Amino acid sequence: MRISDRFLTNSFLTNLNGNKEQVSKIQRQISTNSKIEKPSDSPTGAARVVRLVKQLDQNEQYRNAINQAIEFTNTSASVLDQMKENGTRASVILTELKNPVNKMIKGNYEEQLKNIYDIFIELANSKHEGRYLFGGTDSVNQPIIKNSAGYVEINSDFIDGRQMVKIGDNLDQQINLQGDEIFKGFANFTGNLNINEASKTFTNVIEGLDGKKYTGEAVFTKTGADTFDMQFNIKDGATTLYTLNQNLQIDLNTNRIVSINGGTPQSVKIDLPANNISFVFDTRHLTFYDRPTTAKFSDGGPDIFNTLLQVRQLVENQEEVPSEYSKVFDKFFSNLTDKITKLGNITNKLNDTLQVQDSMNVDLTDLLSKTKDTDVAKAIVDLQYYDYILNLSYKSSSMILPKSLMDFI
Amino acid sequence: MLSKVFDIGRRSLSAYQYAMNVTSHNLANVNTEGFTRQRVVFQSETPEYHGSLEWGSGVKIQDIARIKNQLVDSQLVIYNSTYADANKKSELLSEMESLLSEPSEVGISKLMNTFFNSWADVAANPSLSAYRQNLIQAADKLSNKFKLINTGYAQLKQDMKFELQEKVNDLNAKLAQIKILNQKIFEAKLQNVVANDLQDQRDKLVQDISKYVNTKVSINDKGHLSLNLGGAFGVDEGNSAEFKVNETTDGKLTISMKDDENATITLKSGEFAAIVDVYNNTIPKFKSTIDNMAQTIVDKVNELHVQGFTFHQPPLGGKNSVNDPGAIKFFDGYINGELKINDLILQDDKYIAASLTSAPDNGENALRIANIAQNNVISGTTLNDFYSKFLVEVGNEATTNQQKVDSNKAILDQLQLQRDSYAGVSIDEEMTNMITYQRSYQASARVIKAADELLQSLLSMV
Repeated sequence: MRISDRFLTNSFLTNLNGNKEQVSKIQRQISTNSKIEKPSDSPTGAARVVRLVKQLDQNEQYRNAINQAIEFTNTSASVLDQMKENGTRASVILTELKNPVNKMIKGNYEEQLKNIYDIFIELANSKHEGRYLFGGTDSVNQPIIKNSAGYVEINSDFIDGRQMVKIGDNLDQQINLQGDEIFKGFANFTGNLNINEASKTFTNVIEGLDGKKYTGEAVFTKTGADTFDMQFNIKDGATTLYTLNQNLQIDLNTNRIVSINGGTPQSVKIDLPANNISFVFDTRHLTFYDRPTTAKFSDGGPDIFNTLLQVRQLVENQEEVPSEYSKVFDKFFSNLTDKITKLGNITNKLNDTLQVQDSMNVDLTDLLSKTKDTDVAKAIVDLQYYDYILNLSYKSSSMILPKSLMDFI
Repeated sequence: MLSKVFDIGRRSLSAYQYAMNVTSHNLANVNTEGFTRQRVVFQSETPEYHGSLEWGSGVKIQDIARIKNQLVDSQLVIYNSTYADANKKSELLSEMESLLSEPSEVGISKLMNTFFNSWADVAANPSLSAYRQNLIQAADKLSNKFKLINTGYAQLKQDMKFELQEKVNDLNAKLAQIKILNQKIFEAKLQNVVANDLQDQRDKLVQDISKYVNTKVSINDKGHLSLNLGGAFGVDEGNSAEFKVNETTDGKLTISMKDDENATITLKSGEFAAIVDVYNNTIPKFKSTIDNMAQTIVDKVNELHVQGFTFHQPPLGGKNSVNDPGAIKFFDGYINGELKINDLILQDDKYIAASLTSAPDNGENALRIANIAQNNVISGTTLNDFYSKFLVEVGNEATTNQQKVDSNKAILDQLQLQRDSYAGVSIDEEMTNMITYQRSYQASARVIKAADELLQSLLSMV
C-alpha cells in the first residue's frame, strides 16, 4: 500500500480522536458520577432512572407524611392522657363529695371542678401545627365553645371530618379522632342535605343520664325554595316525650342556615329532668346543596362538658350530686380508653409503614445507584488504560510524523 | 552532428526542469485538501532516420497526469452524503435531548413528581398556606419546564430553517462555481492543456455539495461535469440551477428551484435531508407527545379541581364540570406551551380546592389530584410511564442514529484513507523524484558541456 503523508496524518488523527473521545467520556462519568446523562446514553436505563426516581420521590413523600402523622397522633394521645387525668380527678371529687366531712370545704372542690372544666375545654380545643386535634376537618372554628346561653356546644361544622393521609401507593390512613366520637352527647347535624329533597327523616338514639335509651327523630320538610320545617321528637316507645319545631331559612348563596324561627341560628339545650335527659340539639351545621344528601345526625345524651358544668352548679348550690353523673364520667373514661387504644393502633400502623418505606428507600436508592452511578473504580482503571493508549499514540506519532527523506539528505 | 547533441541536451534540461516544477508543485500542496498528486510522464522524442539508421532525439514530456481513483471518488460522494445526513441528525437530536434535561433534578419527570407530591402534602395539611404555596411553586416550575422545552423546540426550528437557507445559498454559489470551472476546463482542453488543478477544485466542490444533498455525478466527453441533486437539475456545461427553501402552510420545509416551487429536490441523504426530516417529522412528533402530556395534566387536574371546595368561608367551587359557571380551574389551560396557572390561585392560595366536602381541613380532593400520578390517565398508562416510554423512544432514535454516524464514519474514513493513499503526496516519493530529476538535469548539462568541449577541440584545429 502506498503511504502518503496525508494518509499518515489523517490515520493518526482518526485514531487519536477515537482515544480522546473515550477519555473524555470516562472523565465526564467520573466528574458527574453518572453514567446516564441523557436518554441516548442508555434509553432503557434512562427510563428506569425516571421510574426509580419517581418511586423514591413518592417514598420520600410518604415518609414525610407518616412522620407528620405520627407527630399528630402522639400529640392527640398526649392530650387524651391529660383529659383522662383531669377526668379521673373530677370523678374522685364526686366520690369525696359524698363524704359529709368534705362538704365543709366545698368551695375548694368547686374551684377544682371549675379548673377541670376550663382545662377540658382547653384540651378539647388543642391544636397541632395550627390544626385542631379534635376539630374534624375544620381548622378555622374552635370545635367546642361555651355559648352565650351558658352551656357548651359544638361550634364546628365538620367535627366529624376525617383527616386522611396517603402513606402508601394504595394506603390512605385516617390520623385524627373525630370530635364527635370523643365528645359524645351532642345531637349534632353535619354534612349536606339536598335542598331539592321534599322530605327527609333522620333518627338517632337519645340516652338519659341513667343510661336509658330513647328514640330521637328529626323530620325535614321543604316548604319553599329556601325554607324547611324541622320537627324533632323524642320518643319512649310509641309515646312522644318531647317535640321541637324549627323553621329554617337558607341562604342560597352560602347554602347555610341564616335563621331559625326568624332569629339567629342557635343550638337548643333540651332538659327533661323527669326522664334524666339532658343534651344539646344542633341543626346549625347543616349545609343545603343541590347534591345528594350526605348529612349525619349523631346520637344525643349527656356530654362531659355540660355534665361537669351541671355538677359544678349542684356543688355550688350545695345540692347532692346524683350518682347518675358518675356513670357519665365512667362512660367517658371508657370511651377515652378505647380512643387512646385506637390512636395507639394508628401510631403502630404508621410506625410499621414507616419501617417498610424506610426499607424500600434503601432498596430503591441502591437500585438507582446501580443503574445510574458510575462504577468509579472501573472508570478509573479504564481511564488509565485509555490515557496510556493516548500517550502511546502521541509518542509514536511524534516520532514518525516529522520524519521524511529530507532529514537524511 | 554536434548540434544534435546540443539539441538533445537542451530538450533534456527543459524536460527535467518541468519535472522539477511538478515535484515542487506536489510538495507545495502536500497539505492542500482535495489536491490530487501529479506525475510527469516522459516519452522519448520522435527519432530521425538516416538511411537504415535511427537517430534518437532525446526526451520530451508527454503528459502531467492526475493520479486519482475514480471509483473511490464516486464512493466518497455517496458516503459523504449518508454520513453528513446521520451526523447532522445526530447533532440535532442531541440538542433536542439536551432540552429535556433527563434524567436530572430539572427534568419534566422530577418536576411532575414534585407537583403531584405537593398535592399530597396539601392533602395532609389542607389548612396550611405554606403547603399551598409550595404547590403553586411546583406547578410554576413544571410549567416553566414545559415552556422551556417548547421555546427550545421553536428556537431550534427557527435556527434550522435559517441554517438550511444559508446552506442552500452556499449550494447555489458552489453550483455557479462549477459552471465556471466547467467552462475553463473546456477552454483549456481546446488548447490541449489538461487543467489538473481546476479539476481538483471542481472535484472538491462536488464533494462539498454531496455533504448537503444526495448527488449524482456524470462527466461527458468534453470534460463537462453534470450534477443531479435528488432528481433536480444542478449544473451542466453551460447552466447552473438556483434553489430556495419553502415552507408549506402546514409548516413543512421543502427545497425547490428558485423559479419553480413545484420542482423540488427529493431529499434522501445529506445535511438537507437531516434538517428537513427533523424539522418536518421528528420535532412535531416529540412536541406532540409533550403537548399530549401537558394537556392531560391540565385536563385531569382541572376536572377534579372544579369539583372541590376552596379554603374560603363560605367555600367556593363544588362544580360538576370545568364548563360550569363559577368553576374554579387550577390551570387556565395549556397555552403557548406553558401550563397557565389560574390567576386567582396565583394571587390567593385559598382558591386551591383541596377539600371535597367544603370543610376547610378536608384534603380529599387534593388527595384525588395527587393520585392522578398513579392512575392510567394517558394512552392506558400513567403519566410517568408514558414519559418513560417517550424517553426510551428519544434515546433509541438518538442511539440508532449515532450507530449510523459511527458506521458511515468508519466507511468514510476508510475511503478517505484510500484516496489519500492513492492521490496524496508522499514527501519521500517527491524527494526521491527530485534527486532523480536533479541528477538527470546535471547529466544533461554534462552532455552539453562535453559537446562544447568537442566543438572547442574542432575550433582549435582551425
